[in-house]
Amino acid sequence: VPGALQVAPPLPQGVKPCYDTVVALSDVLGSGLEAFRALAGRAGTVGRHMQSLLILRRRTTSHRDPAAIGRSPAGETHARIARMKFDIGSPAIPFGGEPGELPAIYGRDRIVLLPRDPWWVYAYWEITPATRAEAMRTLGVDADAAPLVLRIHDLTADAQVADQRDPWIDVEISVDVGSQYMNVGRPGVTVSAELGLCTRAGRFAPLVRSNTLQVPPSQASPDGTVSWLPMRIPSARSAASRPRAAHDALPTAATPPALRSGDAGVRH
Amino acid sequence: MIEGGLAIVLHAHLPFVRHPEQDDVIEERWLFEAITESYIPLLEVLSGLSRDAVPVRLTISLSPSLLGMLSDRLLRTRYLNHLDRLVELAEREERRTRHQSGLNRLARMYFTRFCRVRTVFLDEWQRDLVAAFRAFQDQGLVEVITSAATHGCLPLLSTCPGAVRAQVEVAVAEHGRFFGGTPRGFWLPECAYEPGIDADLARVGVRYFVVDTHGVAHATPRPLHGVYAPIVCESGVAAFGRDPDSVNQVWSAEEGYPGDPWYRDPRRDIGLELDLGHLAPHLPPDQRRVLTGIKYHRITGPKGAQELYDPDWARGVVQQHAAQFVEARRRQAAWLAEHMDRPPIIVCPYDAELFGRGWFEGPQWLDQVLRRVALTPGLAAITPSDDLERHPTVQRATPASSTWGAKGYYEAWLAPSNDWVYRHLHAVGERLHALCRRYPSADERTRRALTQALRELLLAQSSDWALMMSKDQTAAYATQRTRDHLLRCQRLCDEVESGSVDDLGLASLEDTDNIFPALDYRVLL
Repeated sequence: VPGALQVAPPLPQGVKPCYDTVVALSDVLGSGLEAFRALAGRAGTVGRHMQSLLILRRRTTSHRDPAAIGRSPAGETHARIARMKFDIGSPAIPFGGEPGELPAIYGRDRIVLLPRDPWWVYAYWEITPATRAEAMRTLGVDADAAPLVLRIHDLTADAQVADQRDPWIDVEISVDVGSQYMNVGRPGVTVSAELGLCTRAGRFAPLVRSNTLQVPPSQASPDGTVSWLPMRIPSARSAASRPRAAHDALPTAATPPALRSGDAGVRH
Repeated sequence: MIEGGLAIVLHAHLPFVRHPEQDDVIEERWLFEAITESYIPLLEVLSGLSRDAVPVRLTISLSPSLLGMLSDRLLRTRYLNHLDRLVELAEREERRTRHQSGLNRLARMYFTRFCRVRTVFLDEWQRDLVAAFRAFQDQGLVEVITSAATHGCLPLLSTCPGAVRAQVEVAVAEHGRFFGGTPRGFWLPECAYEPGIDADLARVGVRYFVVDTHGVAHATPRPLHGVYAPIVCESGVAAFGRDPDSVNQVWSAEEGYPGDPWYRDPRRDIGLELDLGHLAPHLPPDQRRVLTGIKYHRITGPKGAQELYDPDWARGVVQQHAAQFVEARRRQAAWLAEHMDRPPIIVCPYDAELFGRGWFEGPQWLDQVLRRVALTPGLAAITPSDDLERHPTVQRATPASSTWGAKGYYEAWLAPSNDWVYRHLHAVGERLHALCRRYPSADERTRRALTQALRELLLAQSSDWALMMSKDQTAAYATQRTRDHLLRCQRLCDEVESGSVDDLGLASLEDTDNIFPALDYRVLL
């Protein structure tokens, strides 16, 4: 560790180190110290870039630790600015309003997953009486004691993890229309959920399946692949005067990248 | 010498608040205060930079809902009435304080200031502030970009078919209506990104967007240069990450510049302190106390009596802070350039309303920063698209799902106080989407009903409502707005399905929620 710290030069005068310097640094060390040592010691572009990466990552925010993300200065200030924008010295008071109430149910089977942060997802669901009755008929005698279960599938294409973990999290729920926050335990995973009846014998009768959700990652990607894409940006004047020109702005995979001296198209 | 780029990106947005059914609704003051304290001072800064031909570029995101309000005839008239009452109040303050020289000097400052705002609004820009921004865009001083139609938090809407596409396409169409052409940049509301949203931006020709620092730092593959160079998604749209070092300096009330004891205290306001009779003409009809924008004290310190604000002294502090900020960025750029094989770009995105409304001296500071950057070797004030033009070969990587809100993710918009809205937003959105597909070429009346239903759905999707629901002062209003728009959308869907569109009711809704006059429901097809 002391060796790695010596690699990074001091921050420029007038620039305060981020609150997460230590977190980011330990992130780098934890995820690839050996690889870094091997590469940084080599002469040439790759070694230099790895060194830059370490230095730059010391100065970019890493929301790795739940306690650390709570100290995010940007987030705190965003809340303050939002308060300020709508502060007129008096509570905003609604008047008038549409008659009627929003429906408590929509009469459609569904379950939806939304991301809250790298650890938690929010699920809301609705199971119609007809669907539940149909599932109970299918389960037959086992159905009476079969609770409603929300099953989360880990769809991440990660063989090592798949070997070590159960492929799902089961949460027993008590209402046919409801919502819940669930800890998925692993940032960056791809998950989906099923809602179904689960018998005591472990037989699961799925009723409805959710969207697939990619939970936000909480740290830098281990993927160090470097590849380039050329972009063509029309000048400001032509962008403002033409109606829509989506097709001529998009880079195409077929376009050979305009490589700079010393660059390789793809590096590892 | 390698020149580093400093990209200051200001995001100007307010939710669509327009109540033709009643005069002097205090929520409309959100817009009025922002015009007086932020937008017109910002235009004054741009005028000065333009007049002095300062070679800088600034990026300003103007949300479609803000454009809709700034261009609305009723709101312009109401703003002028509001401003006239403010000028009158300042005049009364001048008289009231005539025997207190310190206060009187400040009262005169406000009177002069409000008169100047009135001149800018009425005489210089003929009530059309959108035209003002367009003029600075045409001069090349500003790159105007857009944001989602009603500022929907896109990752929380993406499970609903057509929702993200409609927010993006309507926004780009509105930008074209006001500014011509396709915006090169797109401000993702709340900087909220999830992989896949870039494809909707690519489809309409947008070239870049901005995410918070960790959106780039946690991208896949790992970006070589952190947030100091853009990355490009597979869709061909580039992403720029926010520079963390400049965040605290400007944003933080405690550690940052706005908390300096010599700056004006935003919490002290005569609207909360003086006799109601004196304030009466400026107050809403129910005579509730509201902020006036006339504030006489400086922040001073944690203890003891607050001292009077001294604009001259504050101006000196602004100069110091601007110099300090620019020097820090220059050193940062020079240091980064040593370790990168391309000139770095330092992206500094801020809420436009921070400058003026949140930090009184903010516009002066911005002016000073831009003027100093123009004189600083090794640093240039550019836009993200300038950077892409100069360095068009960009590292391929997909940003991580992230926001710039509390804790860096979605908690501000997805918490027990507001999570109930998504069930309704998604269900109503799916219903309208299916209905629109059933009527690909509807008759005129059905077309109007479906278009208005889409207008109501878009208005319900604004991320502002969910955010406000977590705050006592605004929760009731935000809840009712969400509920009202959803119910109106549902009612119109019912009428279309049953073939009994109520002409009078439809016309009334078209008049009340008149945002996006060029909208067509077929954007959902």
